[in-house]
Amino acid sequence: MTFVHAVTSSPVMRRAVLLAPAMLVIGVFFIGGLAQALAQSLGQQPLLGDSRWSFDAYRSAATDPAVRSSIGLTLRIGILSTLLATVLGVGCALVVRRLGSGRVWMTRLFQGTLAVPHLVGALCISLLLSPTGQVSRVAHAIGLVDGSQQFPALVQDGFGWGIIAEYVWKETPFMAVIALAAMTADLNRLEDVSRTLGAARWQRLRHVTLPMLDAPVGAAAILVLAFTMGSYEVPVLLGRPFPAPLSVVTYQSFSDTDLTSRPQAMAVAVLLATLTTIIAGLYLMLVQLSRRRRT
Amino acid sequence: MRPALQVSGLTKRFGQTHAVDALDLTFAPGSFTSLLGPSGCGKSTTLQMIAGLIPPDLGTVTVDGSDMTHVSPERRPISLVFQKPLLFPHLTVEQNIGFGLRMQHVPRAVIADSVAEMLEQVRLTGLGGRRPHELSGGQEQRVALARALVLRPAVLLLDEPFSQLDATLRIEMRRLVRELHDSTGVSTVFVTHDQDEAVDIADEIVLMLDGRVEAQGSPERLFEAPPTLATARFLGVANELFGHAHAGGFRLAGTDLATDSGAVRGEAVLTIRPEAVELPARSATRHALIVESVRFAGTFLAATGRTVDGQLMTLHLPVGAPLVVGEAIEVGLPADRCSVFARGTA
Amino acid sequence: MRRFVAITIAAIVIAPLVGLILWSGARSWPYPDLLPAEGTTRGLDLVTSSGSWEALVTSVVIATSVAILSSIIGLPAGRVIGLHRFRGRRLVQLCLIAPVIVPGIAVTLGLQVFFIRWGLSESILGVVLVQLVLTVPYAATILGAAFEGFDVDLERQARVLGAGAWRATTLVTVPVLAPALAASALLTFLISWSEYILTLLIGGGQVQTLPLMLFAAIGSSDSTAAAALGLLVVAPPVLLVVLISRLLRGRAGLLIGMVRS
Repeated sequence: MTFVHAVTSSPVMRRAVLLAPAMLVIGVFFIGGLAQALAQSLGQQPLLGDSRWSFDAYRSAATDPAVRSSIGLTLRIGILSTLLATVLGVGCALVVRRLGSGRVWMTRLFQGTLAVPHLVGALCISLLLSPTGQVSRVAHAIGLVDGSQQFPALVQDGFGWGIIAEYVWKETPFMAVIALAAMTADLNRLEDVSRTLGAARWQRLRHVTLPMLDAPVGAAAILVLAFTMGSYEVPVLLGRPFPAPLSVVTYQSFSDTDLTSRPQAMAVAVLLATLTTIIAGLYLMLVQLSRRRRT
Repeated sequence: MRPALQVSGLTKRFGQTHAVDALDLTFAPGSFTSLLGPSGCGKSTTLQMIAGLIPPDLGTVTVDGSDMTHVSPERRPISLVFQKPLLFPHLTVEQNIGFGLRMQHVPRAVIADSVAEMLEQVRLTGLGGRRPHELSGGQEQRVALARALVLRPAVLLLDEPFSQLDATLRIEMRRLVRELHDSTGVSTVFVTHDQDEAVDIADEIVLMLDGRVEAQGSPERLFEAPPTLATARFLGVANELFGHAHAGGFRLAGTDLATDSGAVRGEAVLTIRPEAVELPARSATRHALIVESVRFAGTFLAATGRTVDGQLMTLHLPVGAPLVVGEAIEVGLPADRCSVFARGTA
Repeated sequence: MRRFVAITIAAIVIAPLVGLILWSGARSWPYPDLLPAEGTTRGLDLVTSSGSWEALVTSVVIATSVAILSSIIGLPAGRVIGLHRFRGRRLVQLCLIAPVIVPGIAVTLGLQVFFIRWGLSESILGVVLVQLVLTVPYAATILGAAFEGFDVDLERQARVLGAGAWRATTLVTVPVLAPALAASALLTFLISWSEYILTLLIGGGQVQTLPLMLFAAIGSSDSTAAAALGLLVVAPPVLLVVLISRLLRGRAGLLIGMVRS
């Protein structure tokens, strides 16, 4: 009784108890997982006897062409997908917001798309964009191509168009939903005010609407960026085994029958975690900077 | 002189109801008019139609002689201050005030000067670098005022701008608005549902009821000689006494009062403000009452009394007036403060 | 014009799913035909086979467990984030945003050996536990936002009226926060339902969820089978979102909008 009383009466203890379950999950599985990846990349092998500290895994990763080509591809896919999804998503929201009852229906459609698992999205895009996919068939029907061989490689291509297409298809509705949620009655009122102060259509968009969407859309863009840089199933289904993004490369090394490639898998995993964090951090700094410059 | 603002036949329907019904109003240059009315009477809709934010179904809006009915709001020389300050949260106070000038591509240096001058006028010098969320409610509304006035509009519209502020601040803001009006000479239309506010701030009051103009005139005239019973009621006259109007005056509970009944004859209503009732009676028009209740109301005594025929009258009398519940008194009803209306005109 | 653009957007959003539906019922669909030549019920048979049924049950069990556990763990954490202002609050928030930013695969690879050692690999329990890393941050964040709008005086009022701490929570707090709890459960269910790589790494291929089955079907280049399974994977979450977003109105949109898989 006295213990319970002590726990509930001290705010610090109370907070600690309330936070404990969540922090346990994150501490053990997230921080623990990252620490293990780091330790194993540095030569620690928890189930094998011979453990020694070394940078060998990083050295071999640095010379591995699969890893080297992967970094650029990972960044390209992440940045391009995020940019396209953000621009298109905000554009969709601007079109949809004044539709009246159509706004409700389009919002529901966008939300429905959000629930589609990426794995299914990848399947859909592959059925749509492959050399024998629907787009190719339509192109054939209207005489743009003579056969599936002539259709440009859009899936399993070196650039990653198929992967980007899937991300853009899935994340544009996400950005649109976020932007629509930020287009409230308050925003309408602010736009009305700016009209009475002489702001024309494009001036309203530039000086009122877009700045007001800035924060929620920016936060959502970070989520999209992090996700598109780290997802596994979409690039493994729609991309090539080489060059492949870091998530695929790390799994390739990990599932190698030769257990000595495990440390390199961990090194790539650490690299992926670091890269995602740095990019998200850079993006945040950029947003802060542009906000400060505007004032 | 050409009116600063004129609306003719302005009409807006929402569904079946006429929010604004064939409204005709004229505002002289430099005037300060209060658009007074209960919520839902169409005054805000009128203001938004003048600003161009709501298209009218019928009618025209003319500013300084030019027809603005089909001009978009951003090109009307009209500024509107809303009930909420509606400051742009992503901009500083200075940037908010300079917003309209920036939209007109005015050079930065000129904007800075105008903004500094406006800040001084609304007494916010030194707060230009703040963000809206760092301001108090009153400060926010000052910025909104400055933001509207810096454009030197031909007409300034204010839509219940102080209704979300507390009582003392509201009075202070009224003074400021009046001061700004007097120094700039901008024709001002001030929408409010608060009769005290309308009286305090405006030179002219337009009373709107159900989308129409019920009465129009100076505050004194509307209060002391309301043209209609509805006007009298909205302005808080409180005493409505039934009786008989005739050429010589008004017959109340068997007593003739020498009031001006105008053209009203027969069944009629006499109105008088509680504070106009005299005790002891000085005027010639007098009436007997039985005191029914006396209540101390701070700066005055609020009493009720019944006439011989059982009608209730409310009196506001100076503290210390000789009142005893149940005793008969004779009160004075000054003829010039009584109004007589035909029954059923409400 | 605006309507036309909107209809075009809707068509582009729906188009990829049309191919999925057509393929699921196609016996043969030779290039360059625009529509399948022959229909088949093979896809339907596959979807109703015992293998699919078992995978469906596994997926439902895992996703439901994850949804319930995340909300139970997220509720007290959300309370602290939403209602308390203290030193270290930003650190707690950082801990909650980090698992959303850092890819799950990078976190799970190093854990795998420990799941094997602890006997949690190749088990549903292990899969549920590892998925909590992805879902608890969302649950805590959503419920934290809900607690920020929650008036604690309601609880105090309940206490004054004679409810104990437990009854004040179950009879006042939880019902008031019901919409947020529903949104949190829905979102975490969806994340778990869509999850592939963590399930593969910890389940070791023995915990056969629908996404794993679908992945194998896509790899086998049998488009009919893949499309049919794809429909089975996509239908429950889409129906759930459309139904629940109706119940929760616009507010849920933003929360559901956070679905990542």
